[in-house]
Amino acid sequence: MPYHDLPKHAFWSACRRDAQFRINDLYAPKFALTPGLRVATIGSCFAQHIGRAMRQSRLTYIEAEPAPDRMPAEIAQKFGYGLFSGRYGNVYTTRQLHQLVDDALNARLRPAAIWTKDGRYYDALRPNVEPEGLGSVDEVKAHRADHLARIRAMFGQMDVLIFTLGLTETWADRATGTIFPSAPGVIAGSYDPARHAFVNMGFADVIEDLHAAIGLLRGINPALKILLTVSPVPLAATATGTHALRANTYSKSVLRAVAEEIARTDPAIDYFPSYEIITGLPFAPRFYNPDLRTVTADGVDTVMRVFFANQPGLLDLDAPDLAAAVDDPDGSATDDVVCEEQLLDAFSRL
Amino acid sequence: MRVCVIGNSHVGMLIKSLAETPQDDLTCHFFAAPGAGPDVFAITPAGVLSTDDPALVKQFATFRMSTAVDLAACDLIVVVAMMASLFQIKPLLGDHVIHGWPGSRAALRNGKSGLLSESALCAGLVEQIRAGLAYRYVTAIRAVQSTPILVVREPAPSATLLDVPGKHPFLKRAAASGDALACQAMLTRAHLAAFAGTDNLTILDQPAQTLTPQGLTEHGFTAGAVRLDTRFAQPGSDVLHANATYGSLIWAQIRTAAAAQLP
Repeated sequence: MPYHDLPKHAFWSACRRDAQFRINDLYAPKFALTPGLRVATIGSCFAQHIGRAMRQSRLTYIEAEPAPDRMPAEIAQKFGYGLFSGRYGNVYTTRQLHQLVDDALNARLRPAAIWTKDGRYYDALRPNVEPEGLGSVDEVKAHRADHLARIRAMFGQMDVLIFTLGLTETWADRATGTIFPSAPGVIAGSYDPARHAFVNMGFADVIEDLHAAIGLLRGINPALKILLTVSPVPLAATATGTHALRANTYSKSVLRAVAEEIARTDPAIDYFPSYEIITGLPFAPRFYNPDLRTVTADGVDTVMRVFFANQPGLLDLDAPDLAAAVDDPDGSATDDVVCEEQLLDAFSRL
Repeated sequence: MRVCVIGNSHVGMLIKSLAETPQDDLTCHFFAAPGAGPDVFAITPAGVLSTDDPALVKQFATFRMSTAVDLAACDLIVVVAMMASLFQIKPLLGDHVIHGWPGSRAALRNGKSGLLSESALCAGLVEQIRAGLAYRYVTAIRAVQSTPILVVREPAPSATLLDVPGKHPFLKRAAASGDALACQAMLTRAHLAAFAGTDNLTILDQPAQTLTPQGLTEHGFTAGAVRLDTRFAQPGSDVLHANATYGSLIWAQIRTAAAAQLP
């Protein structure tokens, strides 16, 4: 009888009978993280929450591009410091990750990927890290070269990479294939249908890019371990023309399937189910703010408690208590992550 | 003309200048304290500025200043220093350098320094200026008063710092490379940004003739400088304060600005 010896968490009804829905059993680490391991984070908006928790733990959180020590934290974050291990901004897609790794390892500057607005120059590959842009094309290129050199060093130093998959929808330069984290014209630059193409990646695209990025990383760091997560934050807008819920379901389904497939087949890659904790039917929508998009502080806290409860010795947190986790009673809380994708929401009010 | 001067030890240059060259048509109230400045104060809705902090009251008595000034009776308010200076740039830069600044080339070659944008540095300075006492005064005054405000920035450090062995390595490098001039321009930009939106406020630039080509203050404008207690000259190691000659140039700027703004 194949189901006879399975643990209780394998049965929906057994989970349902548990007040916590056996949430702690959601994560059974494939490998233990030990104090001092050097961890880096890359990914979409939700990865910023993970980075903050890692910083508080006994892991060594890599800050490849730290802000000056005395720079006020709020200013530093506005300029892309301290959000992730590097100042690459949000990396939403696996293609963007592949591009970042490839560019860093090959010192590829992509000089055409510079946008302008009001006489200022923006790095189209991370347009949100300099909200006022820079003074010249040369300055953008110098900043990008410096950034890539530091990220390359980080790729060689990290023991564990936590990558949060965020979206399948993205924008590309038709001629070069360069991927942009936000549509041209949203932060800077201008949209030109002849030059810019909308891309909605499928399962094969996503897994191919992720495999390629991992292959490049292992080329310089063979012992690298990778922890995949999928962002529970829905897309702010879809360019597919379909309903946002349908597009989001597609996008997250692909990403979640890719994460499972890669984690299932590679012993040095694991999956951490932050997506299930936030979006899972037993918990939703308690961990969302009233916009049903941004995640509450309780939600983030619950995610990290599950993580650290199953990776003991890294951070002294109690296991999550769903009875204690309550939504923001007045619904006034807002997310505090930097997410340029959220800018798309403005178009809904036009 | 009735003027209220608010500030810290840098007010000394204006006091000393007035003592050496009295200006008969000027009635001046000083409201100043050493160090950070008079950081405990209140302004009534009618515009009376005062302090009842015991330590400040004692200091004001030493300097023969009144602990209460009727700002409504003043034609002009001058706020001196208590903002940001060259000394705040180094902590905000850390190990970073700015693309295009003369000193960045060598630092970038060794690969140790990261790049920081001018916008980020400026934002950090604006934050510091707005957290400073001068900004608190300006905000508090503007809440009850529309009297013209002139802002006098701290002078650039004295060029004599170049001759002080073992001290001020950042400023020495900045002066030698040309970065000190870029820092001065950045400070000007940051102060303009910090006070942007405050009506009837003018920021006075450091008089050009007082600056060396490296962006420091000429020794002739810092030699014999005083602080608030004008009986004592500054110690030889002081590179921060300017003298009465510098103060007289600031008074000239104040008069020019007043002529342009007052009826």
